Amino acid sequence: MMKDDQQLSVLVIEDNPGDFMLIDDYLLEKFSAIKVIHQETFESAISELKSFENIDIILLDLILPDLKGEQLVEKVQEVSGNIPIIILTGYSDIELARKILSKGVSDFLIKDEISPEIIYKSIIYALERKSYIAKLNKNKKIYQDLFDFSPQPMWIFDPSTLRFLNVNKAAIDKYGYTLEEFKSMTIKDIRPKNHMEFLEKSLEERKRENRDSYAGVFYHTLKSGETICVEIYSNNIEYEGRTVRLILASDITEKQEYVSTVETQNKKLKEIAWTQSHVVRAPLARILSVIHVLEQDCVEPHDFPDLLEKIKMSGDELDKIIQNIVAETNTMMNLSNFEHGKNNNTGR
Amino acid sequence: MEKTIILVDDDPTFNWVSSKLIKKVSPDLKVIEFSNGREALDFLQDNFNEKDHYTILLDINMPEMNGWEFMNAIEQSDWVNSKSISVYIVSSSTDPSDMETAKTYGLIKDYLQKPLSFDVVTDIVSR
Repeated sequence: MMKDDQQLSVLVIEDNPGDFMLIDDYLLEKFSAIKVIHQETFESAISELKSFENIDIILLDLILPDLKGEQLVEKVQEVSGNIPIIILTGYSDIELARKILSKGVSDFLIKDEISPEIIYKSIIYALERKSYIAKLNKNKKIYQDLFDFSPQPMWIFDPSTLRFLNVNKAAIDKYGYTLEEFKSMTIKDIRPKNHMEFLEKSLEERKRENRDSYAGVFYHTLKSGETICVEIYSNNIEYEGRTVRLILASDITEKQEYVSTVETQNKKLKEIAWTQSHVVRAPLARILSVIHVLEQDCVEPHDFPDLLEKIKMSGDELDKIIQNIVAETNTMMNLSNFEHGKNNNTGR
Repeated sequence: MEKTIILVDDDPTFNWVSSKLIKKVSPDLKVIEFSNGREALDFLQDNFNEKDHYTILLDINMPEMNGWEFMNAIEQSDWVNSKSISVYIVSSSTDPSDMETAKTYGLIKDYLQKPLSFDVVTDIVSR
């Protein structure tokens, strides 16, 4: 039969020399590149674990001269970290071994039944399980990081109590509360006082519509007392066995201010265009009316100087109006540039 | 029946031009010029004769008494009658609300944009 050639370091903690020899034989029979480290007592095993870092698996006899049973397993686990532990036990201790299994050890083997195949299978299974759990934890961490370190403020709240269950770093930075403070608050506490009725109405509406996702624009209050305008996206998610609400909030206060500046500017421009078109029409109509008269050939020669004067006057008036339009538009533009620049500075 | 054209505008150029054009269409027509509503109202109160006909070319924005105030005054007078008086608003305003206001007066026949062309003047005079 082919031997498994993976490189393994196994720590066997066993005080009975006969039992150890048997296990050592079985291991060498199945693994070609195995390194077996033997310790006979709890104390020596602990110092071995502390000094030798590359142990892949631990085979632990449940009864050692200096410590035994549950307490032994717990103490070993304290220093073994995530190294899989396989318990070795006699018939008389099966109940105890079963109980210990729930503490996170990988497997237990009954000494009298151990064969090379059984010990091989148990080791391979424990190692596979370890790498699978490590992968799972890594994925879990990635998703946890996506929440914790997202640049967008996010939080989870319980829709029945409205309490914050978890809040990410961006939200803590944005709103100014610590995680502990957040966890003692409800979502009502970040709303302006006069928005309570609106909040209750919109929560009621969402409950009635029973929609999974929701988006909208709301006002929130920071710890500093400042009110910001936020765009909210939210979804129902499963969190620790119940349905909770995940909220993503982005601060659009500056964007809103910018939009309202542009709107005010447009309104002013429209006003300038409207009033000026009225004012422009008067001298223009006068010039055109003089042209009408000239076209009809009903003007006496002595009227000409007067007519010229009227045209000149209207021309001057038009010139003045156009200069006014330019000046007014410039004043407005300069003013709004200043306002926007100011916002940028205070926003950072 | 005597026909009189009354020009009411604070800008003398418009009165002068309208007057020239009217004289070209109908040299014998009586044309009187005023620079605001108050002057025109005083004239009508003193000289109105219900056997005659008065065509009034009326500007809106004027000092003293504007076009609308003038209209209110003559519509509330006890001598007015729609057979003797026709009013044409002549304005450089393109404000839709001015055109809507004009429609609320029974005496106003039309809303005309400045400047009046020879054809429009011909049309008004020959009515």
